[in-house]
Amino acid sequence: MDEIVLIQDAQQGDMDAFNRLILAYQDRVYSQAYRVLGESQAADDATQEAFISAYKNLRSFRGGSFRAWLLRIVTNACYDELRRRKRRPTTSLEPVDDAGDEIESPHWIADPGELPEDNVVRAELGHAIQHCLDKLPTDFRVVVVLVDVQGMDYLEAASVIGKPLGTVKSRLARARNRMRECLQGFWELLPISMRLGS
Amino acid sequence: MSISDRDLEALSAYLDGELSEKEQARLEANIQRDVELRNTLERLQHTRTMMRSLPKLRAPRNYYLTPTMVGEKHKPRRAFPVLRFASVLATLLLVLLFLGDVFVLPNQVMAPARTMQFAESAVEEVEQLELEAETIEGQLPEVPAEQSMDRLDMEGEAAPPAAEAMISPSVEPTPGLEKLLATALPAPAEEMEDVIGGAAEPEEEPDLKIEMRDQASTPADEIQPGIDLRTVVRITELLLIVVALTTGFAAFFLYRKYK
Repeated sequence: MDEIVLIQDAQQGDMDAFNRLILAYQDRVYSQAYRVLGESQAADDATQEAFISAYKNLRSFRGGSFRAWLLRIVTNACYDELRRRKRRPTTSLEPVDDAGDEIESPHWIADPGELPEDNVVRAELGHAIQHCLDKLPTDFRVVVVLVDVQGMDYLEAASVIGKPLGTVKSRLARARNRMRECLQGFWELLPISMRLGS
Repeated sequence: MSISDRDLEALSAYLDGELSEKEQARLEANIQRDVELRNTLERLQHTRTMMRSLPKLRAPRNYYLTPTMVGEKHKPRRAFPVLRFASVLATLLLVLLFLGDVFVLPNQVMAPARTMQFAESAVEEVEQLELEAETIEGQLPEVPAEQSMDRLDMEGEAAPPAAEAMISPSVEPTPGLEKLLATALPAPAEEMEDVIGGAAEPEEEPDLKIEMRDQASTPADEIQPGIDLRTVVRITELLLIVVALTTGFAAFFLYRKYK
């Protein structure tokens, strides 16, 4: 069924219509939450919270990109979660050296098990990227996830974060540069087809 | 030579095709000349490619919403203050009604019975008064019409001695009338004379007598018209008790359920 019709039905209180929209967007919304928060349980909570909030505020949706509207809500839920973490800091499970510096991310501790070699490399690459994403400032991380993971253009990303186009351009460039610096040690993880000069 | 933030933004936007044609042409010319720019562009492109190669994540579960998750929990929360207010209001009304029942209603209920009894006795007394007045008029000498008119004209002024002499010796109020006047009308002597002389206006007197009566003289078992009012009050009290208890318990259970 047409997305606009589903949205209109959901605005009239049709929960089944909204659940069909959820089915269409839950992967993207969860992905955004996971990439920003870097933790599956927190991402799960943020996703559920975002859909509940979206349903309750559905009447405020005035058209345009429904995906951008949903991602804006989940991004705000992520910011809320990060603020809560700041107020109530928890003990990190990440291993630290004698100086208290983090040695490695738990992503690297995960046992790949019996995965085939390609899958192991791909999983490690994913972990490396997430590791570098986690090290970015939140504002930079949100923008680079919106553009490079969600595949949004600058205008859509600007509507999600509620900032001008120039801010998106600037934050994205800095985020990519920092990611480049962070990922320098992991070039060998990249599949050959993606390597430079291939 | 390091890359400036401006160049970095231009290179990043160039990769995404977000530069205008003019900006793009200028940047491409710079890239041809500047090796550092070219290297940075390649690394940024590499990073971008890696980011875009990230496997798509799947949601670990379905996030379907149910009415309970988005709304139904809130309905009882909205009903709770309403029920609580209804319970308190019904209780207050019950207390007020009960106090009124105890302290005000008995007097209010007796009033109509007394009024009827007083009215009956007043009619009897008026009839007796009329009889006595006729007796007095029968004892008076015949007065010519002119003198009667003169007497009427001089009412309110000092009565002429002749007229007083004509009335005073002959008018001896009977003991019953005197007693009635003494109890009902604590008025000056001139007003009493007016009453005697104006016996043709007896209809004003019953009101005065009713007001002067001793109200405690009526027995309570004679009260009949107040029974309906009392029944209404009792029924209202019962209804208020039911409303107060029902809403109170409902509010209590809602509070326990959703606190």
